[in-house]
Amino acid sequence: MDLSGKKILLHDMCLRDGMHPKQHQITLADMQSISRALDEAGVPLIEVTHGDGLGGASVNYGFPAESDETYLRGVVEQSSTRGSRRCCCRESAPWTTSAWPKTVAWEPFGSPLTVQRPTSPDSTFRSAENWDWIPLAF
Amino acid sequence: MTEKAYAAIIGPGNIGTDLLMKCLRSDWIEPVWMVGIEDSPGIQRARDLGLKTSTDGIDGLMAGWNDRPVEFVFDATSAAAHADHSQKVVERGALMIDLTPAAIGPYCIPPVNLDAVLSDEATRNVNMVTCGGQATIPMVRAVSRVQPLRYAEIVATVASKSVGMGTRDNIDEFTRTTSAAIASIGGADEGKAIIVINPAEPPLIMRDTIHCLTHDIPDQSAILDSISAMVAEMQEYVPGYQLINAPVFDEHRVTISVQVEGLGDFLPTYAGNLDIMTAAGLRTAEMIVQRRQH
Repeated sequence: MDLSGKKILLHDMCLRDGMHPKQHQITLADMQSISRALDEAGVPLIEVTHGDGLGGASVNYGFPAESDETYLRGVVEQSSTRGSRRCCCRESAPWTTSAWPKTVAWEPFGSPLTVQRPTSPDSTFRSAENWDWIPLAF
Repeated sequence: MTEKAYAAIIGPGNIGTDLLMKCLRSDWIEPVWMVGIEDSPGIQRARDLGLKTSTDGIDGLMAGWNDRPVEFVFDATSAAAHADHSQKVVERGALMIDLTPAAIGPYCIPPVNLDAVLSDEATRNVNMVTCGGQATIPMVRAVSRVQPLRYAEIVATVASKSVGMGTRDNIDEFTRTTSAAIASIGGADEGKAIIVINPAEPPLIMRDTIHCLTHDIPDQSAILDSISAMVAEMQEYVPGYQLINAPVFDEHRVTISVQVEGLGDFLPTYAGNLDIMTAAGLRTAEMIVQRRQH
């Protein structure tokens, strides 16, 4: 495969998918320190929360050490993350707001990206839209 | 001699066609309309069976209404389309039985609250929650009528082949409507619903897991008796409904597993999720007719 001239975007999900082997028990402090290090290393997309994504907390899949909102606030609101970096989460149960799809201009993508729908149930956190953080659906 | 009540079905997909097959056997309901938005295999099947058909959606039904008015309309389309359908049907004086997760009208799970729903004669729209809700909420209720639940969670596993376009389009509505109904009629303080669409071949039969978290230590024998009684009630209209394994008690958790085998009316018997929905909708309509005639 010839990758010359291709733009490669790193999307780290060890703080989301990596929650599974840890039975969703990664502490907030660990999430903050790892995400800070990923951010400082220049990783543009950092995925956090329950291993099954937003709303994954359940008897079936396991209850995490902290809520989705606590993890996201804890990671997003670190000063080093509130800037050029974006934090995202896997879609688990979408919300119902009508402001979607919308276009997000963000340098690492090279061109504006149309986000079809947000990635969080409104019951999980409505405040996310007001943050520097932008939820992305993949 | 019983006089059957005429009914229309909107949505000639998996659910609508399965419902049509069941209606054709009913002693109380006679299907006379199948309504779709294009000339599909489902419409053709209904036409071959002698039903009037519309390929112009609800407007076609309205245009032809006076040729063959109906008392019941079953909506097997999608939550987004339902509000418009309901308004037009109710204006004509028919009762809307909503098989989408739109949930405009009160939730109806026959063995749990059919009497309560039917007792309000002003109700013109009854919502059948979701297939997962029909299969699992009776079990939530079987436990909550013994002792209070702080949380109930259901995981519905269905075969990918049994999940048609409308259902796929309505996964979010499925999740929200089922969760809300687990709390409001299942009787748990909080509800959660998870659906798993399994693409395995050959397709797997519908299986559901119900986790209940009690406030106090579960009264095992009372809960087992209550579950057995509820399973028997379910089997009155869904013969293939059965417990698999014994309920598991683990401190405050009660976990119940059920399997729903369909009658194979339209899709093969693995698609119990179709049967449980259509059987519940038809039973609701039949009960209304029976009560009126007695």
